[in-house]
Amino acid sequence: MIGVTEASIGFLLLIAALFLGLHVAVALFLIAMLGAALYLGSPLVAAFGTQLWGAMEDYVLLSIPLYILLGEILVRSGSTDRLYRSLADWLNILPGGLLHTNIGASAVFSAVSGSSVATAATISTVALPSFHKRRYDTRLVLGSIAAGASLGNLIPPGIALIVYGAMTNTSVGQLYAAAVVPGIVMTALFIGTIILIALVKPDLVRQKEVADPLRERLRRLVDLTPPLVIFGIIMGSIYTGWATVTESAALAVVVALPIAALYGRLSIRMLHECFIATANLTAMSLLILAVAFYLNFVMGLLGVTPALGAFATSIGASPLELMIVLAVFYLLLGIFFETLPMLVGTVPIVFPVIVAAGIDPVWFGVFIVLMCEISLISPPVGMTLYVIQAVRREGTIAEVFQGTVPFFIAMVVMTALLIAFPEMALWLPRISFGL
Amino acid sequence: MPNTPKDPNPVSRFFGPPARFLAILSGWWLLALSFLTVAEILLRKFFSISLQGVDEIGGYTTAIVSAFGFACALTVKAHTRVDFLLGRMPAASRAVLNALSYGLLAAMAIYGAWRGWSVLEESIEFQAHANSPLQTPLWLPQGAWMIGLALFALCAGAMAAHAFWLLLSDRAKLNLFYGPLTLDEEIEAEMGTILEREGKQP
Repeated sequence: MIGVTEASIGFLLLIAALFLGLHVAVALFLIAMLGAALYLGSPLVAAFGTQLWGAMEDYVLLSIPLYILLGEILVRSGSTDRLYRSLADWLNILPGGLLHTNIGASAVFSAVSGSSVATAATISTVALPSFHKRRYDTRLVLGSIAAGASLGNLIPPGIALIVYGAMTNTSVGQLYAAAVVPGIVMTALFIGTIILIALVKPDLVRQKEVADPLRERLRRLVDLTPPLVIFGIIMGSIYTGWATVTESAALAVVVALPIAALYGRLSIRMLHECFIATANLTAMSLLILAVAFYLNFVMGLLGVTPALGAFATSIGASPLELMIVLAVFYLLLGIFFETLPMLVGTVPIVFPVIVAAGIDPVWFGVFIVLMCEISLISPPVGMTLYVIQAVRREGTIAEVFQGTVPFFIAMVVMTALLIAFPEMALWLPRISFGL
Repeated sequence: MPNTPKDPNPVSRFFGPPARFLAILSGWWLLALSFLTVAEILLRKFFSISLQGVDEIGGYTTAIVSAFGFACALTVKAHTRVDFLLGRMPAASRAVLNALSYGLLAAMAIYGAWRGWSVLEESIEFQAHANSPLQTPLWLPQGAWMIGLALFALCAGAMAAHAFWLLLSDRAKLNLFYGPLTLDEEIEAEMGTILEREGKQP
């Protein structure tokens, strides 16, 4: 049994190991081994093998490779350009014109592809040429792509929610339901931000978009169907009770194949590329996750969970105070870390505290994923930002950083809204699962 | 982009083909299992029949597919590292930390493979079967899992040895081969996909 002091030292050592540039899984491994060797003895150090097998042999986690495979197939199916064009037809009417399409297309695409980095790269490639001859403020163009790409984790099916669910034994179906409304609100806030900028500073958005004839626009609506069908199948099959989260992912993979074939992109070579990319991403996530489970196991035996819970109760902080402290903590951490390290590094410590404080685990899942999204667009560490800059091949990275500022503010507002109105996340799971 | 025949790092060049083979095998298996799952959903919904054990096979699949990918991810530097401080250090300190990272990674991979082997050994010795409708003999999925862990341990071990040798002989190469994924490498990986998608050659 160890107390809060030892646990905090362990946490600081973990952060230090991460900053030294060790592989994330190795940093977790070292702390777990240290705890097991110092306090538990060699049989529990040797339990690493059984724990690895136990953690990796998991049907719910199979949804991770399946969603990644789905994303890879869709990325290579060539539906992005069509999606972008069709969304532009309808979103151009708003003040801010084509900027809204960046948000919309990135949101849809990152939701189905599950990767913010892939989205940033894909949407930039499609979007940036369209902005070349138009008169928009460059920084806003870049910022809106980055903001849109970060939405993917919050809009189901996101990998981050599966990881959180697996680490905390929270139902992934409920987490998905909980994320729907906040995902929509977040998208609306981004669109509102652009409208506000366009109205207050019309100089930044001087372009008036001309819409194509209605008939042409209606014809192009077809291009919106593939991503929507996939999304509909996943959410629909889960909430009608036809399929579990993992089964719905398998279903979506099977449906994605004819879509890729329809666009003429399906081939053995293309599939093999999808497979290799899937293997890499799956291995990366699962190695971290499996070792994180071992760390969790060690922490459980060391009594860290009750110690942290008791500690949380002893400070007597109200859930609201706790949430604000955690929001600040995650904003700071997000400057340096990306989604996965942030998630697996903090959840084992933070989760017992929030449970003891009476905060709903499903709500907290949405909250922590929102914090991960903020980390994606907060400079200087944020892969999406650099990818966008690289696709652009001109100007400086500082312009991308500046462009994200309004959207960063919108996300902080979103965090405040989520804390002020927890019902936003809790309403849908309650009506769909009868909790 | 690494993971091509032109990969300058001899160790990832050597381990690339077997690792990619396992990755492609995993992919086909995932695809087959997806079709099996769809059959299970439809049969269950419309005929109230269950194929029994798709979820059990699915659980083993997670373990095997991830283990099969460990080495492949290693050859393309896909295992995440936080490079915030590392990228701001002088080359000499970076070299030491990069070698240290791979040394510790190899320690974990080899220890994991060793402990994994003892899990498999026990299942063989006691002829352990899953407590499920399929009654799967556990050595079967655990054996496949072990192949992945073993390749990972070999690859990580070779990389660590190579990294330490480079620490003594050629630090620039060490930082090139065993530094965190550079921006250019990561972007090239992403852009390769996109150019492919656009129907152009990267």
